[in-house]
Amino acid sequence: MTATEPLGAPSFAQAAFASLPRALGLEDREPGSETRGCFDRAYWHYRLSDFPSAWFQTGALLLAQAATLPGSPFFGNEKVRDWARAGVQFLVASANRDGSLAEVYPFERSYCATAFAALHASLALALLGDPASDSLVRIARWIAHAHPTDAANQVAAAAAALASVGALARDEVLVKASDARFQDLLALQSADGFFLEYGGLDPGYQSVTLSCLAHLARVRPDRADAVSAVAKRGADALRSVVREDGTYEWRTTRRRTQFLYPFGLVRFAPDLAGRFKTGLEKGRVLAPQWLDDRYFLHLATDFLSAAREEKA
Amino acid sequence: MKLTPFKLLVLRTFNVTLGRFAWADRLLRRMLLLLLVKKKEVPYVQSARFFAPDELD
Repeated sequence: MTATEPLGAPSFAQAAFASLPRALGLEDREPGSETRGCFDRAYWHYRLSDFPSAWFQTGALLLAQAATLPGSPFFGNEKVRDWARAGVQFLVASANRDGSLAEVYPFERSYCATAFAALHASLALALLGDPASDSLVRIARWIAHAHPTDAANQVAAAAAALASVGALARDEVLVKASDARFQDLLALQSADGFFLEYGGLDPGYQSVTLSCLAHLARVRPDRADAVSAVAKRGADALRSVVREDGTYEWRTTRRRTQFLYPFGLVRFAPDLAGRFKTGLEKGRVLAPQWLDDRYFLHLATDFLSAAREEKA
Repeated sequence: MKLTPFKLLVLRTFNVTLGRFAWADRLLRRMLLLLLVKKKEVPYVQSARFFAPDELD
């Protein structure tokens, strides 16, 4: 490993880079292992779980980012690229027959996990320069036909996933389904700009939704203006509750999330991203390493997306 | 050896029935030690298989 180079906002990239060895330790990297590519250590190593949770496969995106982001300690490393590919391959192989994915129990058809996993897998493949497999398209088709939840962040993830897999596979049906999910998301936005999470407001999930919209705007440049307009209204709502040091009162929110995802802030509200960075430098906001195995992968990938966006 | 839903069901049924007795727990531990460690060419170690930088060499 070599020393990390500052990239755009050093705090985003470096905070995420610090978590890379931990992410690699979560993955089964053993050649020939039947669970090679699995990031759910409780399943493949401790054998405490009887199924692999798709939630952990976001590790594949983190490794793909690590291998392709200039300044990363693993930039250009072929082994890390291969481990990222193995992560995507394990994900698609672990899907249910209908294309859905399980998060907390075997044969679960989790809208949330399927949407985020498909988004992250497709982003990983795009970074690696690989095409979408038929299995990943099947997963996206399940999202296209599944009934959306009442959680805006999951609907935003579905819209971004469908657009991302659709772009990768050049599948117009998926791209059109993405537009439909985007319309569903609009119905979940309140007059003051907040996206509803099971009927309530939550700044943490608001930032997740903005992050998904940032991915959507990136993979759908033809829809970028419409997506940005919606996202900026969402950022305005967030601005009213986020303090100058990037913190907010989480004890009274709908879902009591304590984190903020920075990618959407960097893309749609640089002043809010500035507040977040101030908090990061002061140790006031949650960094990836503070979260547990289930969540740090997701936040770390978002930090690297933010770092890449700042550099762009 | 993966933990499948069926194996988990059998294990938990044993845990909450006979497994309540110390002798049954000792028996299970002895069996797991034999299956996962002593009879294995590469013994199972929980605190292993993390990432080490020399994997990239």
